[in-house]
Amino acid sequence: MRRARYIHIAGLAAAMLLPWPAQAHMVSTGIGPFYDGMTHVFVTPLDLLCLAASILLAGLAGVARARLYLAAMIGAWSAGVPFGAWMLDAPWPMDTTLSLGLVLCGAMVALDRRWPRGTTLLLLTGLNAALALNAGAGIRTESEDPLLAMLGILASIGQLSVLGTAFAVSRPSTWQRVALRAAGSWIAAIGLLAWAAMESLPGAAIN
Amino acid sequence: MKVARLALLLILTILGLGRDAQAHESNMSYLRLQELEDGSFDIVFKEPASGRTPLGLDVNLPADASITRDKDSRFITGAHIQSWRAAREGGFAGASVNIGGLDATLTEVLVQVRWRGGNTQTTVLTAATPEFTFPVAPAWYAGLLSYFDLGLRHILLGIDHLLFVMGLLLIVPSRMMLFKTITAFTIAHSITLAIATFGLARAPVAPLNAAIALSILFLGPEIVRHWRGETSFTLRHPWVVAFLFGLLHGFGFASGLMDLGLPQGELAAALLLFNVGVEAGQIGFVILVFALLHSFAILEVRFPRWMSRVPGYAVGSLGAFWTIQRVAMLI
Repeated sequence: MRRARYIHIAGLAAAMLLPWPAQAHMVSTGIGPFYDGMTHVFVTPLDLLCLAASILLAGLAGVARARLYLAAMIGAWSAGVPFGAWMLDAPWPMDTTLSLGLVLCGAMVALDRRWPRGTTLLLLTGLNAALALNAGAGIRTESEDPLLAMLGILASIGQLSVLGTAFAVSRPSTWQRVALRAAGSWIAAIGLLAWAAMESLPGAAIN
Repeated sequence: MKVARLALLLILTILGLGRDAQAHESNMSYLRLQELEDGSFDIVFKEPASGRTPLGLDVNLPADASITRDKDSRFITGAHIQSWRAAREGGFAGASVNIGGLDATLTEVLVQVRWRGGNTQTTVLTAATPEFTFPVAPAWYAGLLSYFDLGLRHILLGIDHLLFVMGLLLIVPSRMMLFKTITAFTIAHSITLAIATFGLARAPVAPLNAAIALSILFLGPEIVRHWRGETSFTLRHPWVVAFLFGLLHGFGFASGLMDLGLPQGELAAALLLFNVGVEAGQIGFVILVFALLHSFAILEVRFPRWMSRVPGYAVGSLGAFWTIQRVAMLI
């Protein structure tokens, strides 16, 4: 199992091959819109945190449910990105909704209970569909080749989701599960701070 | 079979690169700035051209720079070369050079500044970063990192090379054989990359690209044999095939370097760092494939039979498509 963990860590490192400069929305990597799309999630903090929370929540639910949640997440992105790219003129202002979703997901990870399947499925599908819609809208307004950028986003989301969920599922020891729960509590705290910042500072955005 | 199932996601990922990959063949521009004793610079700019139609890039010097020798312009096969001289009061330190029109292309510009003291500074400009600033004191490693970056970009946009590696992953039966096969491929393409970069031999680009496509097509039937449980020389000794075709791919990698007309003094470092960049991208790709395979195994994901065969057919079909396309270009 230790070797499996190393493989996952190496895989995640390979997926993040290069450290790209922090930048909101679509980043220009200089090597084409496909890679611009692939790096999108790494430069949008809210997307990355929501995805991490979703992955942890799915992974802590056990193999069978993790598979179901993973399919729902990837399905939400696969439907949401094209829909957002073709139907939305601009990203929706839903940072508040997303940050509250982050709080909810993070708290569920931190509490580490066996949550009802339907509720979890709805939460993960809704949260990831919302992220996907806005990512799609961003592509429409900012990418020179929306189709390639869209494929790039879906490729990186698919790879990260599969690698991350498998990593969380394969937690072999108690302390690792505790570490994942701690990560959930941090995510919930960040979501709460982001929500509070947006409420107290009108116009603030974290994406 | 497991590899085929789990590589599906990556194949679909790679398929998305198709349009970028068309621009993968040697398309780099080269800007050389040679500092003279009086602080002015001799400038040579080489950009791709089709016949007598250049790509249309412009080298924009600082507004307060003056042209001290007019532009000389000429065409060679596949390229447009301009040379001129420029000076600036107080020198060029801190000044910026911008490549106009770069943002509308997928071309990259390798910029090389040769200081009169003998130091050379190299950087790569892209559509995202079309500007270069003359440093007051250039870091010794700045140029070397550019060659690593160049190698990494070359493999990331080189869908044909990655697809060949994918084909090899689909037929290797064990981890030890995988290690031998990837090592053989690496050694082989390093040999020909070095040979081509040092100018000892050179493969013409068009037939070379056709042969690289053929190497991918060659793996298609072998993958099908592997599915059927049959055997062949390639399936028994994939590292031999990887080595032989790796020699071809090395000439392909060299196309990213040898058309630049790099200075002899920097060739060895450029070659080494470029190759390390290529290897980093290739190893990252292999690790990613196997990490995904392992993840699917942990999650007990079972793909339908038809889906598990998509990667193999994708390798064969794209290999056939590129072979026909590139051979047709030769005729």
